[in-house]
Amino acid sequence: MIKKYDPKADLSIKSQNLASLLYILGIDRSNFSTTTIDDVINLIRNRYIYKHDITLNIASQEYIKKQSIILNRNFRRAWFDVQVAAHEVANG
Amino acid sequence: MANEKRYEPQMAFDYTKWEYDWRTFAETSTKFDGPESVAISDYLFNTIGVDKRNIATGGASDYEFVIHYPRPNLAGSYGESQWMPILLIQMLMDIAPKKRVLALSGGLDRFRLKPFQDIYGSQIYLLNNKKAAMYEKFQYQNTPIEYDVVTFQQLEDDNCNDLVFDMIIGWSQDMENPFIPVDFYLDRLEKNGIMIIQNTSDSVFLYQNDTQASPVWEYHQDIKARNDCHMYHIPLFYGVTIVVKK
Repeated sequence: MIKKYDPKADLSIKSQNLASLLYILGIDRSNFSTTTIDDVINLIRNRYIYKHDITLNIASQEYIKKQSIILNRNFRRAWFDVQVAAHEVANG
Repeated sequence: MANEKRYEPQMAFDYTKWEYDWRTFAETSTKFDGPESVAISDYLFNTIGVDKRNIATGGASDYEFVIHYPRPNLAGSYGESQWMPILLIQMLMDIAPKKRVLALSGGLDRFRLKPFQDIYGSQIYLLNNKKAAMYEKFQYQNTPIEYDVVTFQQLEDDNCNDLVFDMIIGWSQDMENPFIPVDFYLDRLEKNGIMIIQNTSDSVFLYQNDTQASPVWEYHQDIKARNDCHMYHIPLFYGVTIVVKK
């Protein structure tokens, strides 16, 4: 058991998380380092397009919306998790 | 403001009694909470360079400068709705004190974990993530807890042998990662152990029909699908979900 935050272990697991999301979105590994957060958010928004403010629950719309919400939330978290852990590894 | 009043009783009432003066503790905590939150946000945005747009997309609670328990400016009476989830969780601990508590969001629950340790002697384990890092840097000094840190890798390698807990406490955001499903944590809960997930109404979005398309809805369904747990979703304040391992 450790007594202190371990940034290397954190960076390792969070990098795997981020890479998994990038693969899911179809981004080639050779492009990982040049892909920006805006690239990915725009990709999700353009791929999972759903109608806003619809009054009826349409199953297909709900499904697409769910994919968009989950991907956006998790991608943003994964991105910033890696950013924080990488900073702690470099400066901790 | 008028709309908010409907959440409050007309009269303050105080039929709650604790030996531990948590109200004073909460007032003191509140004084720490503001400056600590400012220091964390300054560090994240100006030192590390985290993108500030994340706040506008609901990411603020990931960074510990929003949604703390006890919340800033808690009502003076235990009878006010803000205290309900706090009282409820404290009561659970009082009924069946837990000895090994895994906190998934580290410093975010420091004001809850410290009384657990002070009153019941609980051993606190922090999951190794940025919440633990921020706790050590900015929050430990004012709210010191004796703790061990557990990494994801250790939890995976142990495969539910030694690293099991009788309480796991976390936030909705801890359960929304599809690569670390809610089952990962529930499998590490001892028999009769409880898992507390806070903010599980997703700020009431869960209760709107058209937001069934939500990770929050999804992990509740995942828990319902298990046959070894009871689940209680309580729509108090921002919502609390309590899972009991049978």
